[in-house]
Amino acid sequence: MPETRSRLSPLLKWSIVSFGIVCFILIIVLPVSSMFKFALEDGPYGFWKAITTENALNALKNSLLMASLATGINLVVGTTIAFSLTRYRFPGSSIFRALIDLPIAIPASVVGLALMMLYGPKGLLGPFFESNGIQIIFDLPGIVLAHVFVTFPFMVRAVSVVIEKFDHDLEDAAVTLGANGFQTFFRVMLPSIKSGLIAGSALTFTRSLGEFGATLIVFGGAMHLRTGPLYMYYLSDSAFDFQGATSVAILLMVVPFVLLLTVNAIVSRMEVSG
Amino acid sequence: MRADLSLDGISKAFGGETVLKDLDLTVEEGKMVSILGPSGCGKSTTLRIISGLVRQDRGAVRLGGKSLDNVPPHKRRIGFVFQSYALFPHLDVEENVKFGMKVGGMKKEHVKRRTDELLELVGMSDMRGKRPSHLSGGQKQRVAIARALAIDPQVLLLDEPFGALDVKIRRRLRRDLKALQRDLGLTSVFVTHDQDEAFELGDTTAVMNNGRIEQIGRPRDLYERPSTSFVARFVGNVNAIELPGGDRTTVMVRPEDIVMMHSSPDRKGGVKGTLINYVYLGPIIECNVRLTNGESLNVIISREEFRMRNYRRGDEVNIIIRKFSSFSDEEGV
Ligand SMILES: Nc1ncnc2c1ncn2[C@@H]1O[C@H](COP(=O)(O)OP(=O)(O)OP(=O)(O)O)[C@@H](O)[C@H]1O
Ligand SMILES: [Mg+2]
Repeated sequence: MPETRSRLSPLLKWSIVSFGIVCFILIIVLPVSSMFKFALEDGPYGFWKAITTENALNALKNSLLMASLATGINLVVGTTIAFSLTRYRFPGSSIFRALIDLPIAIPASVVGLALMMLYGPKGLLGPFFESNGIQIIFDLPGIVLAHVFVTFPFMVRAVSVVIEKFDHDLEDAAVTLGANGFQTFFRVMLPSIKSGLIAGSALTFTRSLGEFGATLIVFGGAMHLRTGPLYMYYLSDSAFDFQGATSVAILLMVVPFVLLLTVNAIVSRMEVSG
Repeated sequence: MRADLSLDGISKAFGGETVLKDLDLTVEEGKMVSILGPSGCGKSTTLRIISGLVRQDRGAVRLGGKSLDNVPPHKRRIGFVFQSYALFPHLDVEENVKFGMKVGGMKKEHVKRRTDELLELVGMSDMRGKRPSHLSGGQKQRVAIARALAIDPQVLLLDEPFGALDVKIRRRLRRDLKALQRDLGLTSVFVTHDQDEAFELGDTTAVMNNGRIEQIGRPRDLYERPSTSFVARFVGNVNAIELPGGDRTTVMVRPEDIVMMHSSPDRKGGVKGTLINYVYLGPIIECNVRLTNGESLNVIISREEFRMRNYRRGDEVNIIIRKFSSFSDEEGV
């Protein structure tokens, strides 16, 4: 252990440390581990069965689908916005910048309601889309929009960070070497900001996998579109199937965790190799 | 017509702050002009305007008499070497050199042959597979030079390319660059605030100050016949002193244009002073003399003379100024 300078008495020091550890166990570790007791009630096989039922697989598939769509859309939209915010000044750009993080502060359920008020059956634009045969709320587009809304700041932030670090001389060098705008972007900018795109995608994807509040409101009982967290909620809240709910819950916890670890490893490797 | 590079009456302001003021400069085909000037005087801006990365407010950039103003920077074929090297971090040495040829759509075999030649030319053939992060500063700059040459540039611009390197490597690179520029007959502009570098590399040196070229010429012209007080001060060392005699004119005196002797009762001419300090600079000794009127003066004498006269700190000396210049633009100090 590295030496830390402290003038506190050993007794006080150890009291502080143990208090921290006890709190961590009470707040984080105990609730999480108690899930395992229920999930493994019928042994590992029970766990496996619970996460491979038709409904569970469908929910897992939907979650991955929404997360992929949200990530794909954010890669385009978020990157564009990150560029416009970091590279250009335009009237209102500082206000725009300040508003970017807003979705983090908005409660997810409020996001759901907001989308409902725009695209819902009584919303501002909902009837218009519906009369043209386009269903948004209670269907895939609504759910994807909710996921894009809540994950949007993650991509913008991750990409902005790498764009700000980008050495503009590289761009100038590319131009003087004869590269046009496209070539400069794809051959020089993009490879340099790749790590930010990957990190932003990972954050978006994981946040999307866990999204609950907004999805609950806009999904409106369209069972075939039920995502993992909604399915888990259904199992515990309506079906009282705690073994099933905790099994799905563990899956919902482990998948993003492994994903983030992997991506972090990839990104740090990329940064080391320059 | 030869492909001379010329800047005619270039002006540029950034947000109200004028950076270049009606700047004229000509670089003859195959020659290297070095631009020497203090930080912030507009050297980089000048190069960026030549390359098209920055657009001038007024004036024209011409190459062989033809204006480049409507040629976008990526079509100008003007090589640029940056102080920060600006090598693409995700590409290895070889791919960095190939970049310009690839985006220019050059044939594969040709690209390969030319890359080999260029790496050979800058002595980096052994490092071709390395990423820039694995190279030393000097090696990076060699690669950057090869990369800029790969587009067969009409003009090569170098913006303090050796500024981040230590003295030994600088000297070596300087010599290699000069040889290369002369052999290839590259029309080039080299920017620096290091006088030795400017003098060694440039066929002529342009001294720049405050957005203007104050004087352009060979080192000897700049040193012996400076046309402005700025050039006199910036090139070499100079003493700015008020002439004794009461007419209050300030003159510039080179430290080596001063004769110093021990004072003795029978010496009548000259000015009296005290030898405060001296610094050994190898072949020459730089002496600091305080005159009786309180002014401080740098005097340079040879090592032999210093030894012969056996100077010590605190010696009373007598000073005679052999040569001086004065400038109408000098407002007095
Ligand atoms: N893009 C820009 N926007 C605003 N001001 C600028 C810009 N580029 C340069 N300047 C200003 O113009 C002046 C000249 O800058 P320039 O970089 O040409 O100087 P320099 O002679 O190259 O200096 P140095 O030796 O420090 O590199 C400086 O005051 C600088 O702040
Ligand atoms: Mg500069």
